[in-house]
Amino acid sequence: MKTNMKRYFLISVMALGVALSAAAQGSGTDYPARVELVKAQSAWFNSANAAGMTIDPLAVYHDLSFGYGLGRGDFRLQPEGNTNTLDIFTSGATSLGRGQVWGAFNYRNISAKDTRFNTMTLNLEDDLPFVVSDANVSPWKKQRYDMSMKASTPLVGDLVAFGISANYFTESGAKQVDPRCTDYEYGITAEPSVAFHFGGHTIGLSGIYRNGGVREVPVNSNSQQDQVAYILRGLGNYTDAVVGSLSGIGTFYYKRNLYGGSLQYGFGGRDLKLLAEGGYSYQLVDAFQTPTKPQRMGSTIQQKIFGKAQILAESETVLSKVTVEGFHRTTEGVEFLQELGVEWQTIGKYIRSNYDLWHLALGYDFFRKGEAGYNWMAGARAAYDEHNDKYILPASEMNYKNLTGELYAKKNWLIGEVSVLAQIRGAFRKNLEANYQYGGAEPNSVVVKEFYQKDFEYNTAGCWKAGAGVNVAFPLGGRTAMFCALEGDYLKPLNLDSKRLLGTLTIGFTF
Amino acid sequence: MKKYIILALSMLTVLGCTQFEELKGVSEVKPLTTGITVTTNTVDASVPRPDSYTVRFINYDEKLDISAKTDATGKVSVPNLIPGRYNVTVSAEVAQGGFTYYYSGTLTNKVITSDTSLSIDAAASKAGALVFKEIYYNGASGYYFKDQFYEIYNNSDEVQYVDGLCIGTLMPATASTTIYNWIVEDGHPENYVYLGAVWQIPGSGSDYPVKPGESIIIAQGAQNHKLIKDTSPVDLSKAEFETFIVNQTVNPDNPESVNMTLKIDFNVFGTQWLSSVFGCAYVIFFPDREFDNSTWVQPDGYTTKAKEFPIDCIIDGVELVNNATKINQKRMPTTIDAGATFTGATYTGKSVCRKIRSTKDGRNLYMDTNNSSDDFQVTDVAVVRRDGAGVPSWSPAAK
Repeated sequence: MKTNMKRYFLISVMALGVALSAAAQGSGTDYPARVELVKAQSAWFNSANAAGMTIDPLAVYHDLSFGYGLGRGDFRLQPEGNTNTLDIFTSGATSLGRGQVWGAFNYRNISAKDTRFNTMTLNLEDDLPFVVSDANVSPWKKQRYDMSMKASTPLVGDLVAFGISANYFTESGAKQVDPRCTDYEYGITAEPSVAFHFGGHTIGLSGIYRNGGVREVPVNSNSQQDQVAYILRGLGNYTDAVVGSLSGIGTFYYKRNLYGGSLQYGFGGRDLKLLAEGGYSYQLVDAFQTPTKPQRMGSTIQQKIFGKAQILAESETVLSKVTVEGFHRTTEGVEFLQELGVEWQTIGKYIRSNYDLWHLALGYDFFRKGEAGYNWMAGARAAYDEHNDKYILPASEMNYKNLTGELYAKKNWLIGEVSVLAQIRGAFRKNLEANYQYGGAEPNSVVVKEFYQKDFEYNTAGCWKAGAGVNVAFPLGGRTAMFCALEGDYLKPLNLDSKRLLGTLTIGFTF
Repeated sequence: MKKYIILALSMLTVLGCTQFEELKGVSEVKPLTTGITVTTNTVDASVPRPDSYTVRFINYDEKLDISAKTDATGKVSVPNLIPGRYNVTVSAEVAQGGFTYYYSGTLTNKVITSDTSLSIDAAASKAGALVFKEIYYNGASGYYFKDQFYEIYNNSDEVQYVDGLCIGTLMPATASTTIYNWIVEDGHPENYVYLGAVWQIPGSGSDYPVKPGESIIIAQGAQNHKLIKDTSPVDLSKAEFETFIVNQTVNPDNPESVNMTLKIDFNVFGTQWLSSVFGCAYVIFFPDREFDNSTWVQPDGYTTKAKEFPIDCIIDGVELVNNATKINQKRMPTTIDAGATFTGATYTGKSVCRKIRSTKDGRNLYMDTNNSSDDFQVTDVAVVRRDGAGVPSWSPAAK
């Protein structure tokens, strides 16, 4: 871990060096509001096709920040807990000749308290049920390194540009109360792309390949006391297990592979930009136990179709942006019937569960440009989510539909050379339908009553959210500004006796 | 560098393709139907037949327990089974001439992946007179295991003499995925149990009478363990019998407690009889032969030694496994114990004890369907002679 730390620190320093040298080339102060506007202005940067950044370049920017965040209160999923996070984040975009490069690095340290029902999983996913759970309340410690980049070539023959997006992350963590674990996860994603540009039109094609792995080692600090655990299989169904003793569960590990691709069409006029894209991905995750004698614990087959459209109308003084996006994700949970000979042999494999999710979102942002990026902005966002999950045999189902809406506004005052960016936001979630029916053998188990039922209540609770924030930025000379940002959100469900408070304090630089 | 990146991505891609290939052809699970025919080919014609049998399909992985009654011809069709591994049990009881006959038959670890038909031959037996009433095997906090004990109860209406009674443990000592195929002279390994340890109560044949409703305690060490280890739940200083091997400071002989005789010790105990805290498969029996430690049997391909004893001489048996995940690793023939029981964790001070079926003349009658999954329950703490079991008049506990 120390070696990794050094490596990431060096990468961060190098990224900062590149950023500072690029910063020296420009003029004017890069206030945080300008960086926000820069990211909003580039349609292709916000797509799966990096090659398009040549046609629709992201303006040069750089930032570096240190953040502290907290989450308190019981209106949350139980495995999430009450969190304290430390973040170091840096990103930047610059031109390389007529091509473009963007990169980002994030280090995150998470301390969570009062988590429950997650024995060994760093990142729970709503369509990956094959995880281990227990009922003990426990802290978790995690840290994650996440690096991303996008690069695009110049237009070759004034016709075609090539691009690549990549992401690599590693994460490690440990649960702190028996049954506990030590975990390691990595993921690597590569998205090669090409964009053909003719006239004001651009057609893009991108592919995606993702590979990931997780290793989870269960252990008890008190070796005299075995701990009850549950190997989950979906919607409250589980297999009894223990952590500890000779018969305790072994090391869990997961393999992930994803393939996909998407098509883009873009139009760039003088004041109007349009980018539409649609794509498909196919992902398989296999869960195993005991690497030396692999036993299949389940697999998921996930298929996803997605689409996104961005329309940007921009003048010297304003930017209007409409974003429509959505996806349909369907995941099949496969369970295996195995018997042990010299190795575990599969004698049956069946689709036992389905996880179906529709997500549609519509957003609108308006920016009134100004000296420090923008004078003010306002936006609205609406989203619809529909979950239809079922366990086939014995039959169980969980369905819910949520509608969420959010309004937000920011005002930027330039007082002398100090930018004061204040924001307010309000959001609501309305549940349109909620149904959880467990038909398995253990309706009164802690897994059903305490875990699935209560997290279902969270997921389907109508609630409102109010938030505010302020970001004060001081110029430090050249393009560099130092900023200090404080944000807070308060969440309150309509029919549950709980609440949630979220807050972040960030100190950073833009340059 | 570029070469290595391309090579690495290519390898990951190939591995990914293999992963996709392994899930080819997977289909949605469908409920299955299995037809059962119960036969009684080995039951003497003089034994009365039941009107019907209860058939149970138990799938421990799925927590599925489906019961059905056969018709008079012993047939039934059982729907809504999930593909998986089942223990299929058949049971029935018939009372005639003052005796209760129990029918039982089992198919263990039967994999059912399609609609199918199965035949099960049920055997009949009279209810056992002596039964395991409580077994405390998993020790107390602090890795303390010298307080293990076994309580054997007279569940009948007649006085039973325990002189010569043996208690033994089957091999392997702990439930394991290793399957032993024992090699025996007559070529019928299914007719025996294979014991790695056997202790015998001495006596002339009438020294140790146990009246109906009374029990005896066999202690690993007949001491007051509460004084030795504060986490221990039991005082065994008045146990009737102890499995004494050698007099040591830590394993002193209790002169009040009768020392049993170690007849077979293939498990190599050294200074104490520690049966696995993870759970052994225990039997009690009166041997049908003299003990001879110079011969033994072994499983095919393994060096493990054991002594074979006919199933017919077994009076009672209980399969104890680590936890629910190990039930499929049973060692006990299903005609002795069609199920298994467990405390679920080691060094907890918990025990397993037999459930009370009814009371008669002020004494308890305990369940004995030859299925410990049904007959036993887990206790919060081990107790010697719980529920008012009687003490034999010759016991140190009676003095």
